[in-house]
Amino acid sequence: MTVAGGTGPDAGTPTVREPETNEALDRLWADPPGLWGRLTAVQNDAIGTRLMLTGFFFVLLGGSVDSLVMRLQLAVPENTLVSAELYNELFTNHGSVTMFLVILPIFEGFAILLLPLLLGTREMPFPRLGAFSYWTFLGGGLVYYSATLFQLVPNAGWFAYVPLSGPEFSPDLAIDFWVLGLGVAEVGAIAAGLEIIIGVLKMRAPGMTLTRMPLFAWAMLITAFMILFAFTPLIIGSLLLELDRGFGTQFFNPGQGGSSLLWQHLFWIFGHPEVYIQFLPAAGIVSMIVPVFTRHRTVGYTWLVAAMVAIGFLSFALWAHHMFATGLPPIVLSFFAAASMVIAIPAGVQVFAWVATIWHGRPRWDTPFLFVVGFLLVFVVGGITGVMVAAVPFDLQAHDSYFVVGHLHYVLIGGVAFPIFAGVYYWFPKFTGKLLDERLGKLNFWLLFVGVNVAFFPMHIVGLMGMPRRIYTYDDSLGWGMYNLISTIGVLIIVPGIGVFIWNVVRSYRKGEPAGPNPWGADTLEWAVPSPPAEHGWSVLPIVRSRHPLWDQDVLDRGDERLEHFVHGLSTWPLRWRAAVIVGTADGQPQEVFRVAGPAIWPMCAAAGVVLIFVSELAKLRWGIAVGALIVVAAAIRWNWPEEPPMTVEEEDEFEREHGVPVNGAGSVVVASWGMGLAILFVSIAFGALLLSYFYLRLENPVWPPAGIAEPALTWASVAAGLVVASGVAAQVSLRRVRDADQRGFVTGLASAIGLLGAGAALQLWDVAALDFGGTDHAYGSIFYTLTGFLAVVATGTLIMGAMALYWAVKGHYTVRRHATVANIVRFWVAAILIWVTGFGVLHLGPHLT
Amino acid sequence: MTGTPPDGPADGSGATTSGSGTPVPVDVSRDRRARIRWAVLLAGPVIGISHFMVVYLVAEAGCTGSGPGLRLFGPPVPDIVTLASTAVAALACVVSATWAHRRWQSSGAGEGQGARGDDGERPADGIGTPDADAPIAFAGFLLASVFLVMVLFVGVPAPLLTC
Repeated sequence: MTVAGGTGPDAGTPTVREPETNEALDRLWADPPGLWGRLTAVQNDAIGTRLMLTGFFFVLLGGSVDSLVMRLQLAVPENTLVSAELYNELFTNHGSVTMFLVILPIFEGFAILLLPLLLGTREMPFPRLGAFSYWTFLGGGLVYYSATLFQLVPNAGWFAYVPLSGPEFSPDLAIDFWVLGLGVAEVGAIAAGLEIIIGVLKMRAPGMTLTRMPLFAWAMLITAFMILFAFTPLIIGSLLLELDRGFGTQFFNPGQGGSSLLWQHLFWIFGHPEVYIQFLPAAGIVSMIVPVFTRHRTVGYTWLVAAMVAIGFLSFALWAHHMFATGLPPIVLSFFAAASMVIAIPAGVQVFAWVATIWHGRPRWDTPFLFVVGFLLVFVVGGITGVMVAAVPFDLQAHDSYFVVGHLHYVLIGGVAFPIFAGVYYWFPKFTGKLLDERLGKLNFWLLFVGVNVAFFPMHIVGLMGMPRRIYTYDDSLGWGMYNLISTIGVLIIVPGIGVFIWNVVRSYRKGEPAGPNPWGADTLEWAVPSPPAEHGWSVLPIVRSRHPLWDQDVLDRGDERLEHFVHGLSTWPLRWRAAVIVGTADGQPQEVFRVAGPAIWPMCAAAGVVLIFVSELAKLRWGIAVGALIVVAAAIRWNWPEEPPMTVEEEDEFEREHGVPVNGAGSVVVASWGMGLAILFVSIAFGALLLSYFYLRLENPVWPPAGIAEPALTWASVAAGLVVASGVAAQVSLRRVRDADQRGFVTGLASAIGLLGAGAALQLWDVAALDFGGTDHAYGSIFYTLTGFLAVVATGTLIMGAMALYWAVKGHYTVRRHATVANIVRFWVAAILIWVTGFGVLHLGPHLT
Repeated sequence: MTGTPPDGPADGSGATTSGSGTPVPVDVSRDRRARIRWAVLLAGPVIGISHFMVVYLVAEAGCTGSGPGLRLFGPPVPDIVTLASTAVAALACVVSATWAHRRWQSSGAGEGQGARGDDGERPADGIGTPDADAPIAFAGFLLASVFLVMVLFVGVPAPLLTC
């Protein structure tokens, strides 16, 4: 693409200064070489690329082959290519793999790979958390797929509805592979989500205000919050299902006070937002590509941001529209139907904003833009059929029919897969230095576009004719044969389309045309650096003064005089440790320079511990769970082991005096604070999901506690709660003492807090152990012990953190200047107490009050 | 630039390390201006979702619940709670939208649409103003408006339906 001089969309790419320190910075930020380097790598480019490639590998391994075999089976009536059992396994695997192991990891990979360059920063805030995220995702995917080796492939659908997935109807380990394998991957998804939230909010180029932020960053920010709020209830749901399957609890057994609908609620509180978790990043990619290929600024930037935020919230008010056929009260149906229709407003706003941008611009029909146009056409069809199934009367007719299959594939292929292809074609040159072949790209697009419509449009018709989902064959007399044959032909067109894509990637990676830094004449920061970029990305951080910096700024490091001085200062110092910048959330002004964590084996060890916990449960080796937990704790301690600051306080102060920005060579205060805040949010959401389960079960049971079980005694539980609250007071006192430089008072306060919390937790466990009911007799006991166990886990985590802080306090590690770790632990402590007191109120006081 | 970030707190507890202790105060949680921006942006969605959860949970408890103490939620309580909370939430959405609209107008973005575009940025030269308030306030106005629609759409039909 030719770029002319001047400002605006046709401007040339502004220059990026490469100071003499460029090579030194590149070496400093590179991961170690060799096998060890690969195992300890934490750099965002390595982690992001791995996530994307592994996601593509999983879809090729399972998702796509499954769909081809299913379509071949359904091509003609009464076909015998596969058995009913194998067909069940195929559709379960197809849905589970694409929803858990493909789309989300690919988008999180996009985000981790892209965001530092896109936002004008050198790294993500928690590189080791990113590495942990990848290893858990890989481990979870392999555990899930290993079911095939044991011929125990899950077969209860990607939603694993109980009672089908419960111990009675799925007694073998197939569903355990589903619950536990995907559970590990869910942990990884949440970890990456935390990383993305803080990265977008706090690590941007100086001057990049919230409203100058690229729309992809907005999309990933909202998506990451949604991951946190959606995946956590699923993890709790999976925990309850595994407890039912492995430990004999009764959460989902209606005969013993449980509820099968509870699983559906927990699953769809995740499941529906999941659709938008996949759609929003795609919308972000589209929003990046449209202005570049139309040579026009985004029309309605603010409208797009508002629409994304609206979708993020509204998606959590739609879950029961998957449950319209379960007998919910009409008034409840109306609530969810209304919310499901309202979400069409922000979705429509997005489409109109993109269309308006194209309308005002001068489209250039390169492959990324072709995929965007394909997205618009296919996604709109999927969106309209989505509004149709939001209407209860229609949904009751179309529920579990092929109409829904057609709808969801139009949404997920048009709304998600096409933007992924567009994103790969768009950003491939940046990270490889090679352009993907345009001729192959166009062939790739047309094969997919035609194939998708031929495959999935007939499904709407055959669905309205009455063909149900998840049947492995059908009778010739039903008249569905022609439509199914056409659908199969569509898939046979898609397959070579995917083949062309793979060939294009492989061929272009080896022999592609050199790309140059900005082959598309794009407007965002990542196109200012060389292709492929250096390890550290930016030697001199850009100063952002526009939403389209490469179109509007002649020189990127020019701006406010003080900012110029700062970014140039940071390009030459420090050169011994990885320095990155924290900015104000809204105004993008520098707040802190801090040391980003370097390569370490501990994230992989922690991930291995997590995998061991889940695999041990799979194999019913309960001691293995304890070993896995110990590995996780040990790895987390070593991971966070305080390192000697790479410079003296005087050196830090010197930079601050010169540039006006505080330096924390020991690690970021701000990032750690945000990290702890999100950890507290995660624990709170998990606790909220357990409380929801408690109250839902309580709704379903006329007598609570059930007959024959006394209300829980208050005496010792009250004393335990009092001790726990007292521990929080002691922890607060210790924090004040360290701020007052009172080392002795600090250590004494912290030790007292640990003692009080330990005593309270032990007393509670002793009291619960003496109760006269078990956790397997009735759902009441199941939720009582599970909630108590959750409180114990939270208390244990707090104690471990407190013990580590005490160890380092005794060693004199904390000072008035450097005690942010203590402050964060005390914040968690306070949250743990609030959770404990709430749990005490629900479990012990609630039955007495009602 | 000084040790205190430009959007730092007005109480003087800004982002200094030298001689004033740990730089915990750089945490944005103490940044009043940033908090107000987020409040303007998210007030509408928070009101809308809170309203939705209240009416849903009360209806679920009143229509399907059979446990002890749930008689309190029996019909016609779900209808009454739905209508009352809908009125309150709708009013709150209107107030939020007005608040956001006023902030947007006061930033000067609402005037001279041709000069600054629909959201307060300057399309003429692409270099935006350092004031991040206008687009955020405008987005808050849009969000409060759409969630007003949601609140009414969810709550108003309730009297026509039963458990």
